Amino acid sequence: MSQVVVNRHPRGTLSRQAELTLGAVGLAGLILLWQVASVASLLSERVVPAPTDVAGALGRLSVTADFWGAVWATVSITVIAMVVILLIAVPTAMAIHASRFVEHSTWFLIEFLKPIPGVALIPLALLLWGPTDGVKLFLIVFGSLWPMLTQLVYGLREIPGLALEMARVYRFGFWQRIHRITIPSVLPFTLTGLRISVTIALIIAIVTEYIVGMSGLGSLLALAQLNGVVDQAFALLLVSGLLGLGFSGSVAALSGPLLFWHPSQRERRNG
Amino acid sequence: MMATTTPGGWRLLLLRGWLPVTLVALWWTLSAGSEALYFPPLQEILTTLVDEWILGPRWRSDLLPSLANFTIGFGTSVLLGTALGVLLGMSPVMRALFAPVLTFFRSLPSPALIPIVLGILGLGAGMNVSLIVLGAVWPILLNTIDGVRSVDTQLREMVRSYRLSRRQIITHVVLPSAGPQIFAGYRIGLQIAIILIVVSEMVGATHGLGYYVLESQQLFMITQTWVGTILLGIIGYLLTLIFLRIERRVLRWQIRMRQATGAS
Repeated sequence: MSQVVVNRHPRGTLSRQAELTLGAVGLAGLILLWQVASVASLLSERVVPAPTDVAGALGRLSVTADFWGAVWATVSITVIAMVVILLIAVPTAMAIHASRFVEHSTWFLIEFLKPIPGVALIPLALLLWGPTDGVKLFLIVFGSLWPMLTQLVYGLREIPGLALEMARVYRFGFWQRIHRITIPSVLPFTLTGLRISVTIALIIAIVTEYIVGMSGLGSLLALAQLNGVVDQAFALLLVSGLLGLGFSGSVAALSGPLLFWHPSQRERRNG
Repeated sequence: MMATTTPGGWRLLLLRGWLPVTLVALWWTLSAGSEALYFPPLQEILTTLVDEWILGPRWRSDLLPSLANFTIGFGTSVLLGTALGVLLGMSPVMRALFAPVLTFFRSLPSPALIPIVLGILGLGAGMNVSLIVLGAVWPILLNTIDGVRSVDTQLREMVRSYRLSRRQIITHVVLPSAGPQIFAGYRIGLQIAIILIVVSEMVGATHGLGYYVLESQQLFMITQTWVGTILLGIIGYLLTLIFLRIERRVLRWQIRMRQATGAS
Protein backbone atom coordinates (compact mmCIF):
# COMPACT_ATOMS: atom_id res chain seq x y z
CA MET A 1 0.00 0.00 0.00
CA SER A 2 1.22 3.42 -0.71
CA GLN A 3 1.43 5.20 2.55
CA VAL A 4 0.52 8.80 2.75
CA VAL A 5 2.74 10.55 5.20
CA VAL A 6 2.09 14.21 5.37
CA ASN A 7 4.82 16.59 6.18
CA ARG A 8 3.29 19.05 8.58
CA HIS A 9 6.55 20.69 9.35
CA PRO A 10 6.74 24.12 7.72
CA ARG A 11 10.39 23.56 6.92
CA GLY A 12 11.02 21.74 3.69
CA THR A 13 7.67 22.58 2.17
CA LEU A 14 6.67 25.38 -0.15
CA SER A 15 3.32 27.00 -0.57
CA ARG A 16 1.30 25.91 -3.58
CA GLN A 17 1.79 29.29 -5.18
CA ALA A 18 5.57 29.25 -4.72
CA GLU A 19 5.68 25.81 -6.32
CA LEU A 20 3.72 26.96 -9.35
CA THR A 21 5.83 30.09 -9.77
CA LEU A 22 9.07 28.14 -9.54
CA GLY A 23 7.75 25.58 -12.01
CA ALA A 24 6.88 28.29 -14.52
CA VAL A 25 10.30 29.88 -14.03
CA GLY A 26 12.03 26.53 -14.55
CA LEU A 27 10.10 25.78 -17.72
CA ALA A 28 10.59 29.26 -19.18
CA GLY A 29 14.28 29.21 -18.28
CA LEU A 30 14.80 25.88 -20.01
CA ILE A 31 13.07 27.01 -23.20
CA LEU A 32 15.03 30.26 -23.16
CA LEU A 33 18.31 28.36 -22.69
CA TRP A 34 17.38 26.07 -25.59
CA GLN A 35 16.55 29.05 -27.82
CA VAL A 36 19.79 30.85 -26.96
CA ALA A 37 21.81 27.69 -27.60
CA SER A 38 20.12 27.29 -30.97
CA VAL A 39 20.63 30.91 -32.01
CA ALA A 40 24.27 30.72 -30.95
CA SER A 41 24.57 27.57 -33.11
CA LEU A 42 25.60 25.46 -30.15
CA LEU A 43 22.98 22.98 -31.29
CA SER A 44 23.05 21.80 -34.87
CA GLU A 45 19.86 22.83 -36.63
CA ARG A 46 19.59 19.48 -38.35
CA VAL A 47 19.68 17.58 -35.06
CA VAL A 48 17.95 19.87 -32.55
CA PRO A 49 15.88 22.71 -34.05
CA ALA A 50 15.18 25.90 -32.12
CA PRO A 51 11.98 26.14 -30.03
CA THR A 52 10.64 28.77 -32.41
CA ASP A 53 11.09 26.37 -35.35
CA VAL A 54 9.33 23.62 -33.40
CA ALA A 55 6.47 26.00 -32.63
CA GLY A 56 6.26 26.88 -36.32
CA ALA A 57 6.16 23.22 -37.31
CA LEU A 58 3.45 22.60 -34.74
CA GLY A 59 1.45 25.50 -36.18
CA ARG A 60 1.75 24.13 -39.71
CA LEU A 61 0.75 20.64 -38.52
CA SER A 62 -2.27 21.86 -36.60
CA VAL A 63 -4.01 23.22 -39.71
CA THR A 64 -3.86 19.88 -41.54
CA ALA A 65 -6.69 17.36 -41.40
CA ASP A 66 -4.15 14.51 -41.44
CA PHE A 67 -2.74 15.62 -38.12
CA TRP A 68 -6.10 15.74 -36.35
CA GLY A 69 -7.10 12.45 -37.94
CA ALA A 70 -3.92 10.86 -36.58
CA VAL A 71 -4.46 12.30 -33.10
CA TRP A 72 -8.02 11.04 -33.11
CA ALA A 73 -6.94 7.57 -34.29
CA THR A 74 -4.44 7.22 -31.45
CA VAL A 75 -6.74 8.69 -28.80
CA SER A 76 -9.82 6.70 -29.78
CA ILE A 77 -8.08 3.32 -29.93
CA THR A 78 -6.48 3.95 -26.52
CA VAL A 79 -9.84 4.84 -24.97
CA ILE A 80 -11.54 1.80 -26.53
CA ALA A 81 -8.70 -0.41 -25.29
CA MET A 82 -9.21 0.91 -21.73
CA VAL A 83 -12.91 0.00 -21.87
CA VAL A 84 -12.11 -3.49 -23.18
CA ILE A 85 -9.48 -3.93 -20.47
CA LEU A 86 -11.99 -3.04 -17.76
CA LEU A 87 -14.55 -5.42 -19.27
CA ILE A 88 -11.99 -8.25 -19.18
CA ALA A 89 -10.19 -7.42 -15.93
CA VAL A 90 -13.20 -6.91 -13.62
CA PRO A 91 -14.85 -10.33 -14.11
CA THR A 92 -11.46 -12.07 -14.22
CA ALA A 93 -10.31 -10.45 -11.00
CA MET A 94 -13.62 -11.34 -9.34
CA ALA A 95 -13.32 -14.97 -10.45
CA ILE A 96 -9.74 -15.15 -9.17
CA HIS A 97 -10.80 -13.63 -5.88
CA ALA A 98 -13.89 -15.78 -5.46
CA SER A 99 -12.29 -19.16 -6.05
CA ARG A 100 -9.06 -20.49 -4.66
CA PHE A 101 -9.10 -23.04 -7.48
CA VAL A 102 -9.22 -20.38 -10.19
CA GLU A 103 -6.54 -18.38 -8.39
CA HIS A 104 -4.05 -21.24 -8.26
CA SER A 105 -4.88 -22.58 -11.71
CA THR A 106 -4.35 -19.26 -13.45
CA TRP A 107 -1.39 -18.23 -11.30
CA PHE A 108 1.38 -19.42 -13.57
CA LEU A 109 -0.40 -18.37 -16.74
CA ILE A 110 -0.84 -14.80 -15.52
CA GLU A 111 2.64 -14.58 -14.00
CA PHE A 112 4.06 -15.75 -17.32
CA LEU A 113 1.95 -13.55 -19.59
CA LYS A 114 2.31 -10.42 -17.45
CA PRO A 115 5.97 -9.55 -18.20
CA ILE A 116 5.78 -10.37 -21.92
CA PRO A 117 6.28 -7.04 -23.66
CA GLY A 118 3.14 -6.36 -25.71
CA VAL A 119 5.26 -5.01 -28.57
CA ALA A 120 6.92 -8.41 -28.97
CA LEU A 121 3.66 -9.72 -30.40
CA ILE A 122 3.46 -7.13 -33.18
CA PRO A 123 5.29 -9.17 -35.87
CA LEU A 124 3.42 -12.39 -35.14
CA ALA A 125 0.02 -10.70 -34.97
CA LEU A 126 0.72 -8.94 -38.27
CA LEU A 127 1.67 -12.19 -39.87
CA LEU A 128 -1.44 -14.00 -38.64
CA TRP A 129 -4.10 -11.33 -39.09
CA GLY A 130 -2.65 -8.47 -41.11
CA PRO A 131 -2.66 -4.76 -40.31
CA THR A 132 -6.22 -4.12 -39.11
CA ASP A 133 -7.67 -1.98 -36.32
CA GLY A 134 -8.72 -5.19 -34.58
CA VAL A 135 -5.11 -6.36 -34.40
CA LYS A 136 -4.02 -2.98 -33.07
CA LEU A 137 -6.69 -3.20 -30.37
CA PHE A 138 -5.66 -6.76 -29.52
CA LEU A 139 -2.00 -5.76 -29.17
CA ILE A 140 -2.82 -2.80 -26.92
CA VAL A 141 -5.20 -4.82 -24.75
CA PHE A 142 -2.81 -7.74 -24.43
CA GLY A 143 0.09 -5.50 -23.50
CA SER A 144 -1.63 -3.27 -20.97
CA LEU A 145 -4.22 -5.55 -19.38
CA TRP A 146 -1.95 -6.90 -16.64
CA PRO A 147 -1.35 -3.85 -14.43
CA MET A 148 -5.10 -3.36 -14.19
CA LEU A 149 -5.78 -7.03 -13.45
CA THR A 150 -3.04 -7.21 -10.81
CA GLN A 151 -4.26 -4.06 -9.06
CA LEU A 152 -7.87 -5.30 -9.04
CA VAL A 153 -6.96 -8.68 -7.57
CA TYR A 154 -4.80 -6.93 -5.01
CA GLY A 155 -7.56 -4.46 -4.18
CA LEU A 156 -10.16 -7.19 -3.69
CA ARG A 157 -7.80 -8.97 -1.34
CA GLU A 158 -7.31 -5.83 0.74
CA ILE A 159 -10.97 -5.28 1.56
CA PRO A 160 -10.96 -4.89 5.35
CA GLY A 161 -12.33 -7.98 7.06
CA LEU A 162 -13.96 -5.79 9.70
CA ALA A 163 -16.06 -4.02 7.07
CA LEU A 164 -17.25 -7.37 5.72
CA GLU A 165 -18.16 -8.53 9.24
CA MET A 166 -20.07 -5.34 9.75
CA ALA A 167 -21.94 -5.84 6.49
CA ARG A 168 -22.93 -9.29 7.70
CA VAL A 169 -24.16 -7.97 11.04
CA TYR A 170 -26.21 -5.27 9.34
CA ARG A 171 -27.55 -7.89 6.91
CA PHE A 172 -26.42 -6.04 3.79
CA GLY A 173 -27.81 -7.41 0.54
CA PHE A 174 -25.53 -8.34 -2.34
CA TRP A 175 -25.81 -4.98 -4.11
CA GLN A 176 -25.51 -3.08 -0.89
CA ARG A 177 -22.29 -4.89 -0.11
CA ILE A 178 -20.89 -4.20 -3.60
CA HIS A 179 -21.93 -0.57 -3.47
CA ARG A 180 -20.95 0.26 0.12
CA ILE A 181 -17.87 -1.89 0.64
CA THR A 182 -16.41 -3.55 -2.44
CA ILE A 183 -16.43 -0.57 -4.82
CA PRO A 184 -15.04 1.99 -2.35
CA SER A 185 -12.25 -0.36 -1.25
CA VAL A 186 -11.25 -1.35 -4.76
CA LEU A 187 -11.50 2.09 -6.43
CA PRO A 188 -8.08 3.43 -5.39
CA PHE A 189 -6.45 0.28 -6.78
CA THR A 190 -8.48 0.53 -9.97
CA LEU A 191 -7.27 4.08 -10.55
CA THR A 192 -3.64 3.06 -9.96
CA GLY A 193 -4.11 0.20 -12.44
CA LEU A 194 -5.73 2.55 -14.93
CA ARG A 195 -2.85 5.01 -14.68
CA ILE A 196 -0.20 2.38 -15.43
CA SER A 197 -2.30 0.62 -18.06
CA VAL A 198 -3.02 3.80 -20.01
CA THR A 199 0.70 4.71 -20.11
CA ILE A 200 1.59 1.33 -21.59
CA ALA A 201 -1.41 1.37 -23.94
CA LEU A 202 -0.28 4.65 -25.45
CA ILE A 203 3.27 3.29 -25.92
CA ILE A 204 2.03 0.18 -27.72
CA ALA A 205 -0.40 2.19 -29.87
CA ILE A 206 2.37 4.51 -31.07
CA VAL A 207 4.85 1.68 -31.67
CA THR A 208 2.29 -0.31 -33.66
CA GLU A 209 1.45 2.71 -35.79
CA TYR A 210 5.14 3.48 -36.25
CA ILE A 211 6.12 -0.03 -37.35
CA VAL A 212 3.02 -0.95 -39.33
CA GLY A 213 2.30 2.50 -40.76
CA MET A 214 -1.31 2.53 -39.59
CA SER A 215 -2.96 5.91 -39.21
CA GLY A 216 -1.99 7.59 -35.94
CA LEU A 217 0.71 9.65 -34.25
CA GLY A 218 3.21 6.80 -34.67
CA SER A 219 2.94 6.80 -38.47
CA LEU A 220 3.30 10.60 -38.54
CA LEU A 221 6.51 10.19 -36.51
CA ALA A 222 7.77 7.57 -38.96
CA LEU A 223 6.93 9.90 -41.86
CA ALA A 224 8.73 12.85 -40.26
CA GLN A 225 11.77 10.63 -39.73
CA LEU A 226 11.66 9.35 -43.31
CA ASN A 227 11.46 12.87 -44.74
CA GLY A 228 14.11 14.15 -42.36
CA VAL A 229 11.93 17.00 -41.07
CA VAL A 230 13.38 17.31 -37.59
CA ASP A 231 11.26 20.26 -36.46
CA GLN A 232 8.15 18.23 -37.24
CA ALA A 233 9.49 15.23 -35.28
CA PHE A 234 10.00 17.55 -32.29
CA ALA A 235 6.50 19.00 -32.70
CA LEU A 236 5.05 15.47 -32.74
CA LEU A 237 7.08 14.61 -29.65
CA LEU A 238 5.49 17.59 -27.93
CA VAL A 239 2.02 16.48 -29.02
CA SER A 240 2.65 12.91 -27.80
CA GLY A 241 3.75 14.24 -24.44
CA LEU A 242 0.70 16.45 -24.15
CA LEU A 243 -1.49 13.48 -25.07
CA GLY A 244 0.17 11.42 -22.34
CA LEU A 245 -0.36 14.28 -19.92
CA GLY A 246 -4.00 14.46 -20.99
CA PHE A 247 -4.54 10.78 -20.26
CA SER A 248 -2.76 10.75 -16.89
CA GLY A 249 -4.45 14.05 -16.04
CA SER A 250 -7.85 12.52 -16.79
CA VAL A 251 -7.14 9.64 -14.41
CA ALA A 252 -6.00 12.11 -11.75
CA ALA A 253 -9.11 14.22 -12.35
CA LEU A 254 -11.25 11.10 -11.84
CA SER A 255 -9.69 10.40 -8.46
CA GLY A 256 -10.82 13.78 -7.06
CA PRO A 257 -14.59 13.18 -7.20
CA LEU A 258 -14.34 9.37 -6.91
CA LEU A 259 -12.07 9.28 -3.88
CA PHE A 260 -13.14 12.44 -2.06
CA TRP A 261 -13.44 10.43 1.16
CA HIS A 262 -9.97 8.87 0.88
CA PRO A 263 -7.29 10.19 3.29
CA SER A 264 -4.96 11.16 0.43
CA GLN A 265 -7.59 13.44 -1.12
CA ARG A 266 -8.67 14.90 2.20
CA GLU A 267 -5.10 15.83 2.99
CA ARG A 268 -4.74 17.44 -0.40
CA ARG A 269 -7.74 19.68 0.17
CA ASN A 270 -6.70 20.63 3.67
CA GLY A 271 -3.03 21.00 2.97
CA MET B 1 -5.73 -9.03 5.42
CA MET B 2 -7.36 -12.36 6.11
CA ALA B 3 -5.20 -15.38 6.62
CA THR B 4 -4.86 -17.30 3.38
CA THR B 5 -4.61 -21.04 3.53
CA THR B 6 -2.19 -22.14 0.86
CA PRO B 7 -2.01 -25.85 0.17
CA GLY B 8 1.50 -27.15 0.48
CA GLY B 9 3.97 -28.98 -1.74
CA TRP B 10 2.58 -31.37 -4.32
CA ARG B 11 -0.99 -30.22 -4.09
CA LEU B 12 0.00 -26.63 -4.88
CA LEU B 13 2.21 -27.73 -7.75
CA LEU B 14 -0.67 -29.75 -9.17
CA LEU B 15 -3.15 -26.90 -8.73
CA ARG B 16 -0.87 -24.38 -10.37
CA GLY B 17 0.50 -26.71 -13.00
CA TRP B 18 -2.50 -28.44 -14.53
CA LEU B 19 -3.71 -25.55 -16.70
CA PRO B 20 -0.39 -24.48 -18.26
CA VAL B 21 0.60 -28.11 -18.87
CA THR B 22 -2.78 -28.88 -20.45
CA LEU B 23 -2.55 -25.84 -22.71
CA VAL B 24 0.95 -26.66 -23.93
CA ALA B 25 -0.03 -30.32 -24.44
CA LEU B 26 -3.10 -29.23 -26.41
CA TRP B 27 -0.97 -26.92 -28.55
CA TRP B 28 1.54 -29.70 -29.11
CA THR B 29 -1.02 -32.32 -30.18
CA LEU B 30 -3.33 -30.04 -32.16
CA SER B 31 -0.45 -28.51 -34.11
CA ALA B 32 1.34 -31.83 -34.68
CA GLY B 33 1.62 -32.44 -38.40
CA SER B 34 -0.16 -29.13 -39.03
CA GLU B 35 -0.12 -28.09 -42.66
CA ALA B 36 -1.56 -24.65 -41.89
CA LEU B 37 0.91 -22.10 -43.19
CA TYR B 38 0.70 -19.76 -40.20
CA PHE B 39 0.52 -22.35 -37.45
CA PRO B 40 3.54 -24.63 -37.70
CA PRO B 41 3.74 -27.61 -35.32
CA LEU B 42 4.97 -26.67 -31.84
CA GLN B 43 7.60 -29.36 -32.18
CA GLU B 44 9.04 -27.61 -35.23
CA ILE B 45 9.04 -24.25 -33.41
CA LEU B 46 10.88 -25.68 -30.43
CA THR B 47 13.39 -27.55 -32.58
CA THR B 48 14.17 -24.35 -34.48
CA LEU B 49 14.50 -22.47 -31.20
CA VAL B 50 17.01 -24.95 -29.82
CA ASP B 51 18.92 -25.26 -33.12
CA GLU B 52 19.24 -21.55 -33.81
CA TRP B 53 19.41 -20.02 -30.36
CA ILE B 54 20.95 -22.60 -28.05
CA LEU B 55 23.07 -24.85 -30.24
CA GLY B 56 23.53 -22.30 -33.01
CA PRO B 57 25.50 -19.04 -32.94
CA ARG B 58 22.57 -16.71 -32.29
CA TRP B 59 22.80 -16.66 -28.52
CA ARG B 60 26.18 -15.00 -28.89
CA SER B 61 25.49 -12.78 -31.89
CA ASP B 62 21.96 -11.63 -30.98
CA LEU B 63 20.94 -12.63 -27.46
CA LEU B 64 23.97 -11.50 -25.44
CA PRO B 65 24.19 -8.03 -27.07
CA SER B 66 20.46 -7.52 -26.43
CA LEU B 67 20.86 -8.48 -22.79
CA ALA B 68 23.97 -6.32 -22.44
CA ASN B 69 22.19 -3.27 -23.89
CA PHE B 70 19.24 -3.93 -21.64
CA THR B 71 21.41 -4.24 -18.54
CA ILE B 72 23.39 -1.07 -19.29
CA GLY B 73 20.23 0.87 -20.12
CA PHE B 74 18.22 -0.26 -17.11
CA GLY B 75 21.24 0.00 -14.79
CA THR B 76 21.89 3.58 -15.89
CA SER B 77 18.23 4.46 -15.38
CA VAL B 78 18.30 3.01 -11.86
CA LEU B 79 21.49 4.86 -10.84
CA LEU B 80 20.56 8.14 -12.49
CA GLY B 81 16.93 8.05 -11.37
CA THR B 82 17.76 7.23 -7.75
CA ALA B 83 20.60 9.75 -7.43
CA LEU B 84 18.67 12.63 -9.00
CA GLY B 85 15.55 11.56 -7.14
CA VAL B 86 17.27 11.81 -3.75
CA LEU B 87 18.73 15.19 -4.75
CA LEU B 88 15.40 16.61 -5.87
CA GLY B 89 13.48 14.91 -3.09
CA MET B 90 15.55 16.67 -0.45
CA SER B 91 15.36 20.10 -2.04
CA PRO B 92 11.87 21.59 -2.39
CA VAL B 93 13.13 24.48 -4.54
CA MET B 94 14.88 22.28 -7.10
CA ARG B 95 11.88 20.00 -7.14
CA ALA B 96 9.45 22.81 -7.87
CA LEU B 97 11.79 24.20 -10.52
CA PHE B 98 11.90 20.96 -12.49
CA ALA B 99 8.39 19.69 -11.76
CA PRO B 100 6.75 20.66 -15.10
CA VAL B 101 9.57 19.18 -17.18
CA LEU B 102 9.58 15.95 -15.16
CA THR B 103 5.83 15.59 -15.39
CA PHE B 104 5.99 16.05 -19.16
CA PHE B 105 8.64 13.38 -19.64
CA ARG B 106 6.93 10.94 -17.32
CA SER B 107 3.73 11.15 -19.37
CA LEU B 108 5.53 11.11 -22.71
CA PRO B 109 5.11 7.78 -24.52
CA SER B 110 8.82 7.15 -25.02
CA PRO B 111 8.65 5.66 -28.55
CA ALA B 112 7.87 9.22 -29.70
CA LEU B 113 11.59 9.84 -29.10
CA ILE B 114 12.64 7.27 -31.72
CA PRO B 115 13.00 9.65 -34.72
CA ILE B 116 15.03 12.14 -32.69
CA VAL B 117 17.30 9.60 -31.00
CA LEU B 118 17.81 7.81 -34.33
CA GLY B 119 18.59 11.14 -35.98
CA ILE B 120 21.24 11.97 -33.40
CA LEU B 121 22.82 8.55 -32.78
CA GLY B 122 21.96 6.45 -35.83
CA LEU B 123 21.48 2.68 -35.70
CA GLY B 124 23.21 0.66 -33.03
CA ALA B 125 23.82 0.00 -29.36
CA GLY B 126 24.11 3.68 -28.39
CA MET B 127 20.63 4.38 -29.72
CA ASN B 128 19.17 1.30 -28.03
CA VAL B 129 20.65 2.12 -24.64
CA SER B 130 19.71 5.82 -24.86
CA LEU B 131 16.11 5.03 -25.72
CA ILE B 132 15.84 2.72 -22.70
CA VAL B 133 17.30 5.34 -20.37
CA LEU B 134 15.12 8.12 -21.79
CA GLY B 135 12.04 5.97 -21.21
CA ALA B 136 12.78 4.17 -17.95
CA VAL B 137 14.45 6.89 -15.89
CA TRP B 138 11.31 9.01 -15.27
CA PRO B 139 9.16 6.62 -13.24
CA ILE B 140 12.24 5.78 -11.14
CA LEU B 141 13.09 9.43 -10.62
CA LEU B 142 9.56 10.48 -9.70
CA ASN B 143 8.97 7.53 -7.37
CA THR B 144 12.26 8.23 -5.62
CA ILE B 145 11.28 11.88 -5.16
CA ASP B 146 7.93 10.85 -3.68
CA GLY B 147 9.56 8.28 -1.44
CA VAL B 148 12.18 10.68 -0.14
CA ARG B 149 9.58 13.39 0.41
CA SER B 150 7.39 11.19 2.53
CA VAL B 151 10.11 10.19 4.96
CA ASP B 152 8.43 10.48 8.30
CA THR B 153 8.67 13.94 9.87
CA GLN B 154 9.35 12.48 13.28
CA LEU B 155 12.22 10.52 11.82
CA ARG B 156 13.64 13.73 10.36
CA GLU B 157 13.46 15.46 13.70
CA MET B 158 15.20 12.58 15.39
CA VAL B 159 17.91 12.51 12.76
CA ARG B 160 18.52 16.21 13.24
CA SER B 161 18.92 15.78 16.98
CA TYR B 162 21.46 13.00 16.44
CA ARG B 163 23.56 15.31 14.25
CA LEU B 164 24.15 12.76 11.51
CA SER B 165 26.12 13.84 8.48
CA ARG B 166 24.29 14.34 5.20
CA ARG B 167 25.77 11.18 3.81
CA GLN B 168 24.72 9.17 6.87
CA ILE B 169 21.23 10.59 6.62
CA ILE B 170 20.90 9.47 3.00
CA THR B 171 22.29 5.95 3.40
CA HIS B 172 20.87 5.12 6.82
CA VAL B 173 17.58 6.99 6.96
CA VAL B 174 16.31 8.28 3.64
CA LEU B 175 17.08 5.36 1.33
CA PRO B 176 15.85 2.55 3.62
CA SER B 177 12.70 4.45 4.50
CA ALA B 178 11.92 5.32 0.87
CA GLY B 179 12.99 1.84 -0.31
CA PRO B 180 9.60 0.28 -1.02
CA GLN B 181 8.46 3.25 -3.06
CA ILE B 182 11.78 3.45 -4.93
CA PHE B 183 11.46 -0.22 -5.82
CA ALA B 184 7.90 0.36 -7.03
CA GLY B 185 9.46 2.87 -9.44
CA TYR B 186 12.08 0.32 -10.51
CA ARG B 187 9.31 -2.15 -11.27
CA ILE B 188 7.55 0.26 -13.64
CA GLY B 189 10.92 1.26 -15.10
CA LEU B 190 11.75 -2.41 -15.70
CA GLN B 191 8.49 -2.96 -17.56
CA ILE B 192 9.18 0.03 -19.79
CA ALA B 193 12.83 -0.97 -20.29
CA ILE B 194 11.79 -4.45 -21.50
CA ILE B 195 9.33 -2.90 -23.96
CA LEU B 196 11.94 -0.43 -25.17
CA ILE B 197 14.78 -2.89 -25.74
CA VAL B 198 12.45 -4.79 -28.07
CA VAL B 199 11.21 -1.63 -29.80
CA SER B 200 14.66 -0.10 -30.16
CA GLU B 201 15.99 -3.27 -31.75
CA MET B 202 13.04 -3.48 -34.11
CA VAL B 203 13.58 0.05 -35.43
CA GLY B 204 17.20 0.89 -34.66
CA ALA B 205 19.48 -2.15 -34.91
CA THR B 206 20.88 -4.65 -37.36
CA HIS B 207 20.96 -7.55 -34.95
CA GLY B 208 19.42 -8.56 -31.63
CA LEU B 209 16.29 -10.42 -30.68
CA GLY B 210 13.86 -7.61 -31.56
CA TYR B 211 15.47 -7.20 -34.97
CA TYR B 212 15.26 -10.96 -35.53
CA VAL B 213 11.50 -11.14 -34.88
CA LEU B 214 10.59 -8.22 -37.14
CA GLU B 215 13.01 -9.36 -39.84
CA SER B 216 11.54 -12.89 -39.75
CA GLN B 217 8.06 -11.47 -40.15
CA GLN B 218 9.04 -9.26 -43.06
CA LEU B 219 10.81 -12.15 -44.79
CA PHE B 220 7.75 -14.30 -44.15
CA MET B 221 9.71 -16.82 -42.09
CA ILE B 222 6.79 -17.98 -40.03
CA THR B 223 8.44 -20.52 -37.75
CA GLN B 224 11.18 -18.00 -36.90
CA THR B 225 8.58 -15.35 -36.05
CA TRP B 226 7.00 -17.78 -33.60
CA VAL B 227 10.42 -18.66 -32.18
CA GLY B 228 11.35 -15.01 -31.64
CA THR B 229 8.03 -14.19 -30.00
CA ILE B 230 8.24 -17.14 -27.61
CA LEU B 231 11.85 -16.31 -26.78
CA LEU B 232 10.98 -12.68 -26.05
CA GLY B 233 8.23 -13.90 -23.75
CA ILE B 234 10.56 -16.22 -21.86
CA ILE B 235 13.23 -13.53 -21.49
CA GLY B 236 10.73 -10.93 -20.29
CA TYR B 237 9.53 -13.45 -17.73
CA LEU B 238 13.03 -14.36 -16.54
CA LEU B 239 14.16 -10.74 -16.23
CA THR B 240 11.12 -9.93 -14.11
CA LEU B 241 11.73 -13.02 -11.97
CA ILE B 242 15.35 -12.01 -11.31
CA PHE B 243 14.26 -8.49 -10.44
CA LEU B 244 11.62 -9.69 -7.97
CA ARG B 245 14.21 -11.92 -6.29
CA ILE B 246 16.53 -8.96 -5.82
CA GLU B 247 13.69 -6.79 -4.57
CA ARG B 248 12.68 -9.35 -1.98
CA ARG B 249 16.27 -9.59 -0.77
CA VAL B 250 16.84 -5.87 -0.54
CA LEU B 251 13.53 -5.11 1.14
CA ARG B 252 13.67 -8.14 3.42
CA TRP B 253 13.75 -6.11 6.60
CA GLN B 254 10.71 -4.14 5.49
CA ILE B 255 8.69 -7.28 4.83
CA ARG B 256 9.71 -8.73 8.22
CA MET B 257 8.77 -5.53 9.97
CA ARG B 258 5.35 -5.53 8.37
CA GLN B 259 4.79 -9.10 9.46
CA ALA B 260 5.95 -8.33 12.97
CA THR B 261 3.79 -5.26 13.44
CA GLY B 262 0.87 -6.59 11.46
CA ALA B 263 0.67 -3.35 9.51
CA SER B 264 -0.22 -3.57 5.85
